[in-house]
This record gives sequence, C-alpha cells and structure tokens, in this order.
Amino acid sequence: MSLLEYWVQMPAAKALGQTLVHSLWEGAAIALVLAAAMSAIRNARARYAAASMAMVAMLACFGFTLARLMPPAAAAAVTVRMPVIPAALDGSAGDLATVTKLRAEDLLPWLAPFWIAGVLFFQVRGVAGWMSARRLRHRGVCGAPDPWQARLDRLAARLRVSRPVTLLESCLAEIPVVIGYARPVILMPVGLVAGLPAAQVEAILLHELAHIRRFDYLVNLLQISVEGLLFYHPAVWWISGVMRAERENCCDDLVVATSGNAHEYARALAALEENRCDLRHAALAATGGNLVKRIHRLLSQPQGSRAVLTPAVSAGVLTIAAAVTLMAWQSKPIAQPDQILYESAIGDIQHGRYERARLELATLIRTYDTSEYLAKAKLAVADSWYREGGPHGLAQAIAEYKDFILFYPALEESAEAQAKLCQIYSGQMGKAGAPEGVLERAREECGHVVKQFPDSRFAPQARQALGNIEARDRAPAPVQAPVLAQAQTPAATQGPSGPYRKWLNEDVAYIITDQERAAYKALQTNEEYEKFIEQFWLVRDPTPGTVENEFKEEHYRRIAYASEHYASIIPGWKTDRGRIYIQYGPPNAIESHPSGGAYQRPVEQGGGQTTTFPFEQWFYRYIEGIGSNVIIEFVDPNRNGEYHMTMDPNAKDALHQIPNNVFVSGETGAHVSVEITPERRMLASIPVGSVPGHYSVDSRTTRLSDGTTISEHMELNVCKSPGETGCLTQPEYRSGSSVVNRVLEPGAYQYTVVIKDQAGATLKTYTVNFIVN
Amino acid sequence: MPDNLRLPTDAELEVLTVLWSRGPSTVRAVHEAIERRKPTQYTTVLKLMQIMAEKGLVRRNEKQRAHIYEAARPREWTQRQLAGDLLHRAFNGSASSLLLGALSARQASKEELAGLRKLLDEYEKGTR
Repeated sequence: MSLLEYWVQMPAAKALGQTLVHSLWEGAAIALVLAAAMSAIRNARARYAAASMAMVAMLACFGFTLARLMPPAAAAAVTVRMPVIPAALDGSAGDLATVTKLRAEDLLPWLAPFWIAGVLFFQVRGVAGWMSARRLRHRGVCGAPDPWQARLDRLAARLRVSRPVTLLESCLAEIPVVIGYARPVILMPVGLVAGLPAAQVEAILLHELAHIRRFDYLVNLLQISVEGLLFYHPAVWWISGVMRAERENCCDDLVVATSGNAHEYARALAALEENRCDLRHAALAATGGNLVKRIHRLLSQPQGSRAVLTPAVSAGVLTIAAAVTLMAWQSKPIAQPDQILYESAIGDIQHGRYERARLELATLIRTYDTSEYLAKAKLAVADSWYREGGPHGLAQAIAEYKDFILFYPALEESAEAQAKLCQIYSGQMGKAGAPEGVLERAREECGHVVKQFPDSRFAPQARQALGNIEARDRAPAPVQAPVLAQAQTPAATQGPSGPYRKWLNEDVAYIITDQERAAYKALQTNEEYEKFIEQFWLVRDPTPGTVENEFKEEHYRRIAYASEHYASIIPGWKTDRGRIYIQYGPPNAIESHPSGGAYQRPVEQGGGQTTTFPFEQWFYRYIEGIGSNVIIEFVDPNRNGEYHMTMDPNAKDALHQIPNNVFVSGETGAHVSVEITPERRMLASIPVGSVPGHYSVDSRTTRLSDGTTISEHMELNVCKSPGETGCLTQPEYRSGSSVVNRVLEPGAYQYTVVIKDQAGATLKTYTVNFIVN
Repeated sequence: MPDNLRLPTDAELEVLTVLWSRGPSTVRAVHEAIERRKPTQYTTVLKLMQIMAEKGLVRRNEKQRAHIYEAARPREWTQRQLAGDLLHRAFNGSASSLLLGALSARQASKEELAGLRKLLDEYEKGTR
C-alpha cells in the first residue's frame, strides 16, 4: 500500500487519466484542421497565426476537458476514504466481462503519475535550457566592434525595434542566435562579422532583429512549456514544428521586405551553414534542417508575389538581378589566390625549388590566415625542408613537423608528420657522424606513431622501424670511419667541370630553369658549354639589339653586391639573404635590426628589458609569380652575420624559449668565450661579474645539425673580499672541462649561458657559436 | 601530442574571444573591448594576459614597442575542447529549442549543402 497507490485512487487522478485519453482524439482533430488550413494558406504570417491558434486550442481543450471531468472538491474528500479494492475482490467471483471492464477503469488513473513525471522532466529540461542560454549570454563573449553595433542600431530603427539590442561576439555560439526578450542580445560566432560580406552580415542581423521585434523568444518560451505539458501527443510536436518553421519564414520575409535582396540573403544563409559545417565532423550532421526548404522558398518568392506588381516589387527584382550579376563577377576571383599559391608551391617543391616554394607558402600563411590551405601550407613547409635534406634542412623539418603536430593534433596529417619525424631519426641512425641520442629519439618518435595513430597507414612502417631500432640497440654501434662518410657523398659525376661547373652551380644557380640545367648537364664539349652560356644570356636580354645585356649585368651586379654585403662564414651569394637578393633584386624596403633589439619594455607591460636576435625584414612590393606585399624575414640567431630566412615570427626572439619575463641583455664588452682543446673538449669562460653574491649558471650546448643538447647547472659565489675562499675572486669564471665533460663530435655548436643573480633575480644571457673540427 | 588540455577560465575565454574577434591586439585594445561590457581595471587585464602567455594560451609578439598578443590556438581548436562542456549542452541539449537564430540547431548534411550551392548557382544563371 504505497503512497502512490493511495494517491492513484483519488478521483482527481481518474479525471486526469480520462482527460489524457480524451485529449488524444481532440488533438488529432485540431491537427487535421490545421493541416487542411495549411494546404490552403500560402502566406507565412497567416500560417504562423493558424499554427499558434492550433497550439492554444490544444491547451484550451485539455484544460476544458479536465475541468469538466474533475469531480467537485467535496466529493473528492469523501471518496478518498473508500478504496476501490473491494470492487476488485468482488470481481473475482463475478463474470469475466465485469473483470475486464473494471480493469480498464482501474488502469486509467495510473496514467496520471506517468504524465506528471513527464511534465516534471520536460519543465526541468526547459529551465535547464533557459539557464544554459543565459550562461551563453555571459560566457566567452565580447562586444562586437563599434561600427557593427552602430549598424545594428540603424537596422533596429528601420525595423522599428524599440528595445535596445546588444550585439555580442561569442566563441561558443556556432550560429547567430537571439537570447532574451526584455534586454535581448544577438550572439554572433566570433569572426563571422569580419568573415562574411557586409551585406550578408546585415541580412543575418535583420533576421535576428525580426525575431526580437516579433517577441519570438517569449513566445518560444511559452511554446516550450506547452510542449512539456502535452508532451505525450505527437500532434503537439507536429504543430510546434510548423510554428518553428513558419516563424523562420516570417522572419525571412521581413528580411527580404526590408533589404529587398532575397538572393543575397539566401547566399548568407548558405554561407552560414557551410561555415558551421567546417567545425564539426560530417558524421554528426543530422539529415534534418529546413534550410533547403527555406532557401527554395526565398528564391521562388519573387514569382509568388508578382500578382501584386507594385513599383516597389519591380525595383526589388531589379536590385536582386543587379546584385546577382555583380556577385557572379566577383565571386570567382575571391576564393582563389590561396589555392593558386598553394598549388604553385607544391609544384615548386616537386621540382626542387624549395626556397621559392617556402616563399609562396609564407605569403599564403601571412596573407590568408583563415585559408583552408593553412594547415596544408604549414605541412608543405616542413615537407620542403625534409625533401631538401642535409643537416640544416632536416633540423628545420623536425622543428616544422613538431610545430605542425602541436598546432593541429586532431588533423589526420598529424600522423603523417609524426611518421616523418620517425623516418628522419631512424634514417639518421645508420649514418656516420650521427648525433648522440638519435637512437632514443627515433625510438620515441616512432613510438608516438604507433601509440597515437595505431590505425593510420603509417603505423606498420613505424613498427618496423621500432624493430630495427631494437635490433641496433642490442648490437654495439659499428664504428664508422669518417672516410666512409666521405665516400658516401655524391662523387664527381659526369658533366661540366672547372669554370663551366662553377658557372652552373654558382653564377646562375638561382636563375637557371630545370630544363636548362638538364640540357646543360647533357652537353659534352667546352664549345657546347660556351654556346649554351651565350644563348642563356641572349634569351634573357631585354634589349636584344644592343651590345649591352642589361639582365646579365644586373645579375652579376647582384652577385657582387651579395658577396660584398652578406658574407659570413659562408660566401655572401650562398646565404639566404644573398639568394633572395640575387633572385628578386633589391627589396623595396629593408627594416634592419643589426644589433638585435635590446629595448625597454613599456611600463604598462611589466617594464624591464627584452632582447631579440639580430633580424631584418625585407619588403617587396611585388614579386612575379609569388604575389604582392611580400615580407621576408631573416634572423641571425647565432650572431655571426649569417641570417636565415624564417617562417616563424618568434625566431628572432632570443628569450622566446627561456621561460622568464624579467630580462637584462648581455652587458656590452663582457662575453662568453669558448675554447676547444686538442682532444675536442670545451672550455668556457663565463663573465659572472664582480658584484658579490650568489649566482646560478645554466648552460646549454646545442649541436646545430640535429638539435641535441647538453645542459649543465652550476651554483657560484662571487667573493665579498679578496681574502675569502670557496668563491670567485675574478669577474670571470673559467669552466675547465667540467662544462661539457665529454668529447664533442665535429660540427657546429651553439653555446648559451644564462646567469641568474639569486638576490636581484636579474638574468643575463650570452650566446656564442663555435665549430669543432 | 600535448595532453595538457587545460580549459580556459571564463575570464580567459573572454580575452581569447576578443583576440579572435579583433585579431592580434595590444593589452590596451583588449581592455577597451572588455570594458565596454563591464568596468574592468587595465592592470587586471594585463595581469590576466601575462598569466595566459605563461600558460601558453596566448602568444606575445615583442617586435613592436607595445607588445601584441594573439591567441595561441585557433578558435576551432578551443571550441572543440569546450564542446564537451557548454556548447554541447547549449546546442544539442535542452537549450536547442530555446535559441532563435537564422539557422536551426540541427545541421544540414553535406549533400544538402551541395544541393544548396547548386540551387544558388542555377538561380544566378537563370536571372542573368
């Protein structure tokens, strides 16, 4: 005898049960009437009104029936004390017909608790939805740029919306939405306002304003609570769906009536939906959505209203036609340049023109930062380094691949990038002069492939590589004489030699085409070479009739200039700057920071000083085949005058990798110096300074070819008085061989020292480059 | 792959939203955008953004005198991280019927979109 059973025996429960049953046929009848009306009415506002009335009628019928069936309060109080159970007991002795009849009667009241539970569920859900919508209004939003708020206000005035409407950008909303009715806000997905054509944004804003003007948010709240009350009835859901669809149609009509451009609006809706599609996986996409119908309706609208051929309508049709033609002209070139750049760069990579490809990709990355080719372009940069090969190329490739994985962990190309890392390291394993620790790295990177992308097509290869690594690990590493390595480098092949070889590989290395190069290599005699060279310059002569070849002169002038100005440890023409200068000529502007920028950080940003590596930015107004406004950045991270072309805007930031904010750049005059002993050990002298105190010194020796590092940490005291012991008496600390207590392999190294004053918490940093022969 | 998927706090999310909306900006610009909605101290925003830079949520470009900050991750990435949190509930759950917008909360399928494109293109041809 639970409380529930007791409660079900109340006559109210019975009345409720009967009402529920009755409302089934009542609702069906109302829905039928509405369906008939829908087939007759075309106008969206009338259809919406009809559906709303049907909804109200459903609710009214339910209330009316319940009121009729509910017994008077007095009777209810009496019957409670007289349970129906005896009737059921009697039934067991009576005939079957009465038993079944009694049971049907008994079951009806049991509907009531189910109904109440359902209502509770839907109302709680409604409140939760309302609350989360409120949260959406406050979380992850920011005010839209002022001009757009002003535009919205103007549009609101045009639609005669008197309430103040706020335009917010939200990073959580996927689609534009309206929230609230007293102080409504329009949430736009962040970036949409800037990403769509202004006319389309206006059309979308008009749609949202139409919702506000029609008090749709409030109506929708009421509609949801009715849905929750009559949730058991399919007709309610159908009517509700009709209301929703017609509500959008009403707003669509208002937009078209106000802006007079149905087609622009249809385009805006389609663009919006496409924009959203990018965000989610296609698998999640439902088949629903009435967008297709709406757009059909929008586009067929002009014909429907042609019956009322007022001048306004014909003017509207004219504007639509004009807008459509305009768009047809404009829409094609807009989407293209990033694709062109990307495809051209891929072609260049395939033909071995890596530098040019990277320039194009850098232009793409800088200029079209929302391009769908962005991720692909970044991967292509990495691929170009990988294909270029060599210690420098591979080191760059490693950095770029790692960067890619960091930025796009979810993309499937990440598997490819990870596989490339595995390949690079496991490829280095067997080579002579392979850096220390390459085995561990290879194992780690290949392990990532197997672990993180077990289903990718790269996994089997990585597993095999892992097997090789294990095999190599068990066997002692074979000692390979450097002579062997020499023999592996490409030996002198057939083809030009002497000055003719130099002409190909130095003089015209950057301007000769692939076909020309192949043709030149196929030549045999010196005469043929001479003739080829003559022809080579002749076809490039801008004024073939004259004696002077301006192209040739300019070219050799550029080489001379590059050799004079950009020489460092390698010849000027071979440096990145030299190469770009020879290929593309003097830039239109150069922004040079030769000493690196040690500059005062503004007080409002924390004060103090920071420093950058020496860097240069070259600006070209136009480069044929690449584009306009090209900025190329060169950084000299080693401070030896050899500037590298870079894609990473952070590369010049010397402190980027050191996690500390307060920084003082190296004092002028004092510097770290490195000495290499005959047995290839390193001695460093570190200018700690003469200020007494406790210092911690962190040093890092990086082998540039592969990025392997050796780190060391030291604690030093500088004496207060000359008599003290256990502390430094000179301002310089000579490290002895303790800094890097091992024999260094031949190669180029970078040595970075960070000296931290424990008391003042100031930092000094020094970088020096050296080569071990 | 980094597995430190730290979700930004509400205040951090607001800064990120401004950066996504306006592109790389100075602290001053971010502060101005935030202050229009609620009174905020400049130093609060500055401190917050410095912390965010340390956490790796934003990147600081020190090329110019006034440092330029930009969001370290694309919006879609963060949005996907948050999807399990609010977005999902807001759009797929209970609030979906509540929010009014130019699009329904249900998404059109790829095929539907392709159909739409075709329809619009044909319409263009037809009116020309």
